[in-house]
Amino acid sequence: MLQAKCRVVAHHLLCSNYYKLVLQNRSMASKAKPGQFLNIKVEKGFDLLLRRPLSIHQIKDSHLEIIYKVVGRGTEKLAQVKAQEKIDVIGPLGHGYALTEGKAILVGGGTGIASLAFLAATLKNKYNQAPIVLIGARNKEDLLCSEALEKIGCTVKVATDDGSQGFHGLVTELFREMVAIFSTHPNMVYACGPLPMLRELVKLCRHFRIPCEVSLEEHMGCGIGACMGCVVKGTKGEYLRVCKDGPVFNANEVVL
Amino acid sequence: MDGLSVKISSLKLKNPVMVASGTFGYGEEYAQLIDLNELGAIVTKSITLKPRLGNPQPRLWETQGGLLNSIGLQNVGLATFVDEKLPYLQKYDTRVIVSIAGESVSEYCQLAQALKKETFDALEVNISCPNVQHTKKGLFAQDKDLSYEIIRKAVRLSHKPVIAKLTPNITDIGIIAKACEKAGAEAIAVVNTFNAMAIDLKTKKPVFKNIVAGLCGPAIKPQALYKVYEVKKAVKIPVIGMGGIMNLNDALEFIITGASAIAVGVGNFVDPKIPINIIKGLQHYIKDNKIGQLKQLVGSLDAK
Ligand SMILES: Cc1cc2nc3c(=O)[nH]c(=O)nc-3n(C[C@H](O)[C@H](O)[C@H](O)COP(=O)(O)OP(=O)(O)OC[C@H]3O[C@@H](n4cnc5c(N)ncnc54)[C@H](O)[C@@H]3O)c2cc1C
Ligand SMILES: Cc1cc2nc3c(=O)[nH]c(=O)nc-3n(C[C@H](O)[C@H](O)[C@H](O)COP(=O)(O)O)c2cc1C
Ligand code: FES
Repeated sequence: MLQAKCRVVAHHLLCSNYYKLVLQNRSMASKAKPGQFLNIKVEKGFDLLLRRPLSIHQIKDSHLEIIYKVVGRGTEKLAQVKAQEKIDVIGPLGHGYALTEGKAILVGGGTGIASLAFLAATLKNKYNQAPIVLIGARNKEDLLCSEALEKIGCTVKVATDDGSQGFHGLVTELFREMVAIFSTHPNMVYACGPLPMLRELVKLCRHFRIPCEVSLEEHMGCGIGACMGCVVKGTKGEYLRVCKDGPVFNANEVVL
Repeated sequence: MDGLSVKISSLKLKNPVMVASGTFGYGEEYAQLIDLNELGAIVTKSITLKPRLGNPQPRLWETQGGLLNSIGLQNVGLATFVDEKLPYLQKYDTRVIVSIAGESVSEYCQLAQALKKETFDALEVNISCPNVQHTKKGLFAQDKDLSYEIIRKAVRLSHKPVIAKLTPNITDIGIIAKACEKAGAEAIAVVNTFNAMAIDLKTKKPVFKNIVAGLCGPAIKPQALYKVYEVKKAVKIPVIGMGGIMNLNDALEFIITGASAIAVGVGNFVDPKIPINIIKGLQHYIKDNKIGQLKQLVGSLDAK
C-alpha cells in the first residue's frame, strides 16, 4: 500500500458513460494484483470528503488502468480530470483473487468486468490457459472489454438485457446453460458485478459444486481497514471488511 | 522540534497533534502510509469489555463536507486489544492513549481496572458514543452525575491520566466538563460526533437503522470550535480539540480558542498525511511568527 500523486497519462470516454483512466506510478503498478483497487481523491478540497474506490483494470509497465462508470458526484468530478494532471491515490489495496490453475469461468456484470480482465490476463500469463469469460451488460453499447479479452485468447460470451448482442437475458442464465446443458464444468468461478447477479451465481455454483470467488462493494471510509465502515456479514457471524479482508472473498466466507 | 511540545496536565506530548479514536484503528494500517513516530499521540479505537459486532449496514453516509457514521463500536474487545494491539503500538515513540467505552458504570470500572497493569500513557473515557445504548435517557455525557461517577471511578482505578471525551449534543457542555474536572479528569476531549440523520428519498426511510448517526468532518468545525470555547471557559484543565480539522489553519483556530492539543479524525480517511502536514505547518508557523513555544498560543484568543 502506497500513497502517491499519480500523473494522469490518459483519460477518455469509452462508451455511454464509461471512462478509462490511465495513471502512472511504477511502484504501485509493480505491486498490483488482480482484484485489488485504488482509492482515489477526486477533488482537491473537502466538499466531497471521501475517496472513491475503483478496481485496477489492467497494468502495463508503470501504468495502472481503471474503467469506471459515472454514477454520482464523485465519479462526475473524476470525469473532469484532464491528462497530465496529478491525482492523489492510495493503493494497491485489498485482498485480490486467489489464482488457481485449471479451467476457470469469469462472470462480470457492468463495470465488474474491469477487474476480471486483469485476472484473465494474469491467469493466461501464469498458467498459459485463457479462461472463459461471460459478460453481462444492459445492451451492446454498454459492453466493455470483450475484444481485448478475445485478443488474449479468452472465449468470450455475452449476455445483454435487451438482446442487442449475444444471449438475450441475464449473464447468470447464460452461465447456468453453459454448465448444465453444455456441461462446461469449470474448476473455479470468479465473479464481479451487481449484488443480485452475485447472489444468483453463488446459488448456482453451490448447486453445481463449483468453488467460487466474488468481488464485493461497500461504501468506504478509510479504505485501508481501520474504521470498520465497509463491512459485510461473514458466515461465522462476524463482520468482515471489504477494503482489507476483501474485496474478493470466497463465496463460502460471506453472507450475500 | 521542542517548540511544539505541550503538556496535557501530567502527560507530555512532543507535539500537539493526535489522531482521534475510531478513525485510526490500532495504528497498524496507517503505519504503512505514515511514520507513527512523528505523531504527538495515537488514540486507539474505543474498546469494550467483550468484542463488539457493531451495527448492520449502512454504517457510513457522506454529506457535503461531512460524514455520518453508525459503526456501533465494532472492536476486538479488551483481551485481544491487550494481547495483540497494544504491544504493536508500544514499539513506537509516540504517546498511546487508550479509549474505553462501556454500557454501564461497572463496565467502565472493569475496563479501567483491567488496564491498570498495562503500559500506555493515558486513558480516554468515551462517555459520548452516539451509536450505542447508554442510559434510557441518553448518553452518559449528557448526565452530569453519571459523567462524574464514571470519571471518578476511572481515575481511582486506572492510575493513569484520565481524559473525558464529551458529546456536543447538550445545551451546556460546561456543566459536564466541570463535573469531569471535579472527578479528577486531567483533560477534556471535545468533541465526539454531532447527532444527525439522513433520509433515503426513494423509500422515505431513514438511511440508518438507529435513525440517529454521528456527524463529523469540516461540516461541524465551527460548532466544534464553539464547544471548545465553552469548555475552555468552564474548566482549568487542558482541552483537546477536534471536529473537522483538515489543515494547519483549522488546527491553529482550535489552539487559539483554547485547545492544548488537537486531534484529526475523518481527515485521516481523506488524506493520511494530514496530521504530519499539520505538525510541519506548526513548526513553520512558530518559526515564521517568532513564537518560542507553541503553548504560548494556547487560548490566546482575543475575545475582548
Ligand atoms: C472495491 C471496489 C471496487 C470498485 N471498482 C469499480 C470500478 O472498477 N469501476 C466502477 O465504475 N465502479 C467501481 N466501484 C464502485 C465505485 O466506487 C462507486 O460507483 C463510486 O464510489 C460512486 O461514487 P459517486 O460519488 O460517483 O456516487 P455517489 O453519489 O456516492 O453514489 C451514486 C450511487 O452509487 C452508490 N455507491 C456509491 N459508492 C458506492 C460504493 N463504494 N459501493 C457501492 N455502491 C456505491 C450509491 O449508493 C448511489 O446509489 C468499486 C467499488 C468498490 C468498493
Ligand atoms: C468512523 C468513525 C468512528 C469513530 N469511532 C469513535 C470511537 O470509537 N470512539 C470515540 O471516542 N470517537 C469515535 N469517533 C469520533 C472521532 O474520534 C471524533 O471525535 C469525531 O469524528 C470528530 O472529529 P473529526 O470531525 O475530525 O472526524 C469516530 C468517528 C468516525 C468518523
Ligand atoms: S473502509 Fe475503513 S475499514 Fe474498510
